[in-house]
Amino acid sequence: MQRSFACLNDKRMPAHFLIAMLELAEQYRVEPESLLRGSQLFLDDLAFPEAQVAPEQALYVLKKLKRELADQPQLAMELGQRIASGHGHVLFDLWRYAPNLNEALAAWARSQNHIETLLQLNVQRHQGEIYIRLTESASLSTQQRSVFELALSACRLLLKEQLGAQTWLKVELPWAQPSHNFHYPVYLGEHIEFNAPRCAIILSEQVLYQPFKEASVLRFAQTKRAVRLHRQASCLLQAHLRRLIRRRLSDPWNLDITARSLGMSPATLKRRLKQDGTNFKLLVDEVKGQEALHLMALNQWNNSQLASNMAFSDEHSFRRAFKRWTGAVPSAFRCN
Amino acid sequence: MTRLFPNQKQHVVSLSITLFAGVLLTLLAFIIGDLEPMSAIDWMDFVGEAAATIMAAIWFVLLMLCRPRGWVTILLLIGSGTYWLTTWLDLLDELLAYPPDNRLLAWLESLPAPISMFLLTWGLVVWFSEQQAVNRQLKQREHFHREHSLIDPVTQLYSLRYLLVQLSREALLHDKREQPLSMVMVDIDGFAHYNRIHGPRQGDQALNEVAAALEVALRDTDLACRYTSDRFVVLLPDTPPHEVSVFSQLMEDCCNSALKGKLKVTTVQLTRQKEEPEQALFERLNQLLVSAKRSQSQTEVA
Repeated sequence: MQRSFACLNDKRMPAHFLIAMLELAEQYRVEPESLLRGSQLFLDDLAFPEAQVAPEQALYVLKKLKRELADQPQLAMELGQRIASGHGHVLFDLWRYAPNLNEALAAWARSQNHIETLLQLNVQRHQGEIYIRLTESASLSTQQRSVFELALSACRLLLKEQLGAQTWLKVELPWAQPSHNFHYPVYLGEHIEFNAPRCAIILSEQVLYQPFKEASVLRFAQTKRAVRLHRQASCLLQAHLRRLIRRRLSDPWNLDITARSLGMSPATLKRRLKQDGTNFKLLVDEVKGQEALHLMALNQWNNSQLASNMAFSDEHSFRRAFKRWTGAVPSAFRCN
Repeated sequence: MTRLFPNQKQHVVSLSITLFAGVLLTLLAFIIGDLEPMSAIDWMDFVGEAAATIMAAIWFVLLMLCRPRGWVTILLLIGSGTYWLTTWLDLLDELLAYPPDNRLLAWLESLPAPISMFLLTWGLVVWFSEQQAVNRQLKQREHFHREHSLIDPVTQLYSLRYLLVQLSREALLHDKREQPLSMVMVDIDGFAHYNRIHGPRQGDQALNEVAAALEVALRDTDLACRYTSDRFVVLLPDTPPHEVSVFSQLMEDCCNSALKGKLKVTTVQLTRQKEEPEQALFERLNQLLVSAKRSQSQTEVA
């Protein structure tokens, strides 16, 4: 099947996210116009119901907002809450009206072919727990942490609302605890693990089929149709590749074969990835690095198991790669 | 008089001196001179001089009203006071005829005028530079407020940053004096849900109502700030545990009545242990809130 692919600066993301950002900015007395300056977007562009923006533009505005309000460390998480408690985003409506978490996650997974998001959700059940792991759809560069914080606080709010405020929920963050940790407990709850091997929300398996508080069969069906109407002719090349690699970690990924399977020449694939500021090798390496850390912590695998599962020729080259990803040897991570 | 110039007794003194001098001069003028016949008075001149006197008197009083005490004010007051006296003598001159050999009042009329003008001008110049310094300082302060966002833009309460600065200072003082330092945290229940149903504008309105209610419930020494999202923190210096629970309950009642049943708040309180760091205080508050909410939901279920 021939598919067409898009890059980060194609306008194909619903403007909802960006509008929420501008609204929050206004609350902090930051002019929307000044945030949009340099993004090649104008306020008038956003006034249409089907307005779409490029992921790059959204990230640009987020970066500017963070810089403008550098003394508000909770900004991204506040934005997440705002988006989750606002109306008008089909993806959040999916979560809202689904009969239960299982259906919500399934519908979300299906929607990822239709609606571009900055993040992908990877769901996994393991020893009585559900891991909802967040990974980036495209390199988010300096805004990665903000986007993760935003998504985590939005998801947590939705889950708490649907499953009840007392539901056990743990958040894992792949970065260190800040010296002044005043905001994380408020937005992400009491169970937070810093320096974790992944960015994830972890729930008990029992809630998977617990009925959602706002479940509505008709509205859910309606929203699912609305998602299908959003169907894009093309999908983000990076996001697609990341999904493929994650799904088939043990394949020996190489540029020529991948390009042919996508129906384009290796040179084109190279050029398209370069447009997004990345390259094939980097992409494979990034995904493998994330997965290695996650699988190691999850399954307690040893190096040889990891090496054979991730298409490394031997343990030694895996160890070398691991040092490249994390700056430390695998054993250093195991004892944590 | 002291009510008019609340903290400026100095002004009362200068006003009395000036009035006294005015009375003296008037008496002197009447002793030396004789009333002119009505026909000899130039009424146009009289009206002009009278207006000048009244205006000069108004300047004098206005200066007293708006200036704080200080040497610049003294300059301005002496200048405008003597200026008023000379205009007053000018006015009397229109009504009285002085004997031609007596030059005293003519001198009194004309000599102090340039001196008073000089003093006034000098005072105004210094006032100008003083005002520039004040403006510079205000600008700096405004800059500081803007840069460090000490005020929460939604509720106009202090921001967390300001509270942390105050907290570290108070903590030090309280440790030294061995006084109890307490804190109250206020959280709006189901705020996100309310926001979603009624929109963020109504949500902000609710935040403002809580902020206003907190300000009512505060004592002069207490400090309230918007912690983040729907949480507020109040710092209560020199307040032992049994008093905090009273204040905490008071705040809860105030907030609940301000919200008129739309929403409810939960409050938790604690008293700082000696040398407990700020981070730990907030952790404890957040934990207390979690358990308070848990027990609430359990009682609801039961």
